[in-house]
Amino acid sequence: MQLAAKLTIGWADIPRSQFAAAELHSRAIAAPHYDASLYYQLRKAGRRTRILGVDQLFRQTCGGFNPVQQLIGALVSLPAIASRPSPLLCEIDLFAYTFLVGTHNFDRLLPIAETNDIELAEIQQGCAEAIRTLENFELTGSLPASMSELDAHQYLALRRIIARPSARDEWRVLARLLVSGPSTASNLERELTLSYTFAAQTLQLFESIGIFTRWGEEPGKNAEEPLFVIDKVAIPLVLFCLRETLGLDLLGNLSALLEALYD
Amino acid sequence: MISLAHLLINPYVAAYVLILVGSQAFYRQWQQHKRDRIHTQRLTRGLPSKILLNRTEQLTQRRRAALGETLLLFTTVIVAPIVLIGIARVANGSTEIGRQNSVNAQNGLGFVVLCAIGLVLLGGLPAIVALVSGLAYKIVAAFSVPFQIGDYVTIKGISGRVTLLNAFFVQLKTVNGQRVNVPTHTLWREPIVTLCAQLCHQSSGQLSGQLAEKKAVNWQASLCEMVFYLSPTATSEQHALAENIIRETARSSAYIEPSWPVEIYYAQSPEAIALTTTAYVTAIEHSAAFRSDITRQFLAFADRKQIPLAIARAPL
Repeated sequence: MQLAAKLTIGWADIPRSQFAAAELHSRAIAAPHYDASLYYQLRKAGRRTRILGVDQLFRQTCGGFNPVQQLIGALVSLPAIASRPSPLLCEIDLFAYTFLVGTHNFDRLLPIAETNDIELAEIQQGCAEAIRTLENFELTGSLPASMSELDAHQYLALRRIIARPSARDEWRVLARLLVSGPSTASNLERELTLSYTFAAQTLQLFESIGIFTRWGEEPGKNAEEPLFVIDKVAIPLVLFCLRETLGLDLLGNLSALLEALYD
Repeated sequence: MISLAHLLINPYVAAYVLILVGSQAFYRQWQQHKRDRIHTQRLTRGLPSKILLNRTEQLTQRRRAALGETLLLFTTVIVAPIVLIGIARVANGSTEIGRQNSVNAQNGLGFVVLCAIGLVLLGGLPAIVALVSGLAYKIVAAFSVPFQIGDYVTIKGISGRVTLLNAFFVQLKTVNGQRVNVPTHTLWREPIVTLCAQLCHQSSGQLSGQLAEKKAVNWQASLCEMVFYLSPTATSEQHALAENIIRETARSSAYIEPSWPVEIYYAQSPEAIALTTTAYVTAIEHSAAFRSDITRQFLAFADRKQIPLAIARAPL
């Protein structure tokens, strides 16, 4: 079966459809035959089916790549389903995908959908433009027209946290949420060997300045272990700060990837 | 002597010297004023004096400054005397005395220009040589990119990140935090090893497909090499397990540069099976933390899975 990646940015909501990658995977794992179960589930689907939230099967941890590899590997090896559009679109977060392409050559299994071009270029340009604005602000202190006082205030608040050389753990938390997506304090405690209290406090600190937001929480319901994601609006800020502190330049990697694909 | 005095003591030579010195002084003052204004503006906005940008600060500004300095030098050293000679000819008219004055001005200006050039070429004042040579290197470096501010380089056997490049010094910050100043004018004859360039060279061909050619080098990514020693009694399954865990832990570290591959090479000796791992970290400063991440997880895993590690033999 041919697959194609539809890259998304931000984590709008928990994919609750039966074609959410996590759902598909868990049902297939529970079945006696993983591949057969996937095939059965997809055959039942409507013509416009796409697999949602593939990034939810991936975390940047030891063994965190296995579930997504298992699902996508199995889907690729399945025969095409008659009367279904090909390739089957799989939605995956842009930065998780960029990371996976770099470390695991993931584009061999899941190439970028051709229909994704314009949107992707727009996202990339939007981020690059926002980063240039931040660079200008940082260099000259002048507020460009495209940057509001609120943005500047948010940037300064984030800068105060991450500019210190001792903010190593804060950098790692930002990087982890950018690549792995929604995370709880427990995730960070386990994956980054931080203390639970520190992880929870860091998440709340970033939430208080509008960099992180709670994800998938129903209003009025207090989850014991909230999931946090980077606020979509704050993604360029995080990209910029990670580039200048940790040295991680995922937007640069994405640009290189796109250049290589479309050359 | 008298004729030399005639040559030098004329208003055009004085004007030339004034232009030469005045323009440099004015340029420096103006640059300082600009820096002060930006500094004040940044402080007003709540930005501390230390700029967060590493690399970005860099090229555009440095190129602009280098262009400005080149233009100023060219205009004052070469163009100004030509203009002054022209003015002298027009101002002194075509009378005999006027012509003589023009010739004096022309000769005087020519003499001063030649003296200035000769002073530099024949090794006049070391400070002037250092300044001119350093300035020239700085200007060339802004465009021909032997290295940039933020690059990790080795100059005269000293490795460090370039934190400053001006007409007098290149400042390197070494991994252990020392700041080393290398005189800029000495760099013309020095081999400079730039880590970024090494990365491009070493890794082309290791990555697969079209992507390999096109992958952007993270300018500060740095090669990190680690060796893990397994006991010679370890089985092939244990080798594979160890290799897998090293690869996975490297990829799961927050410091990994994801656009470069993690490679593992085997080597055998009677004492140990060495698994040499090469990976790229986002910046050289994070190498120690990266190594620590991987080693800690590897040791924990080896302990859990009872993978035998090499033990150093007691000396005989």
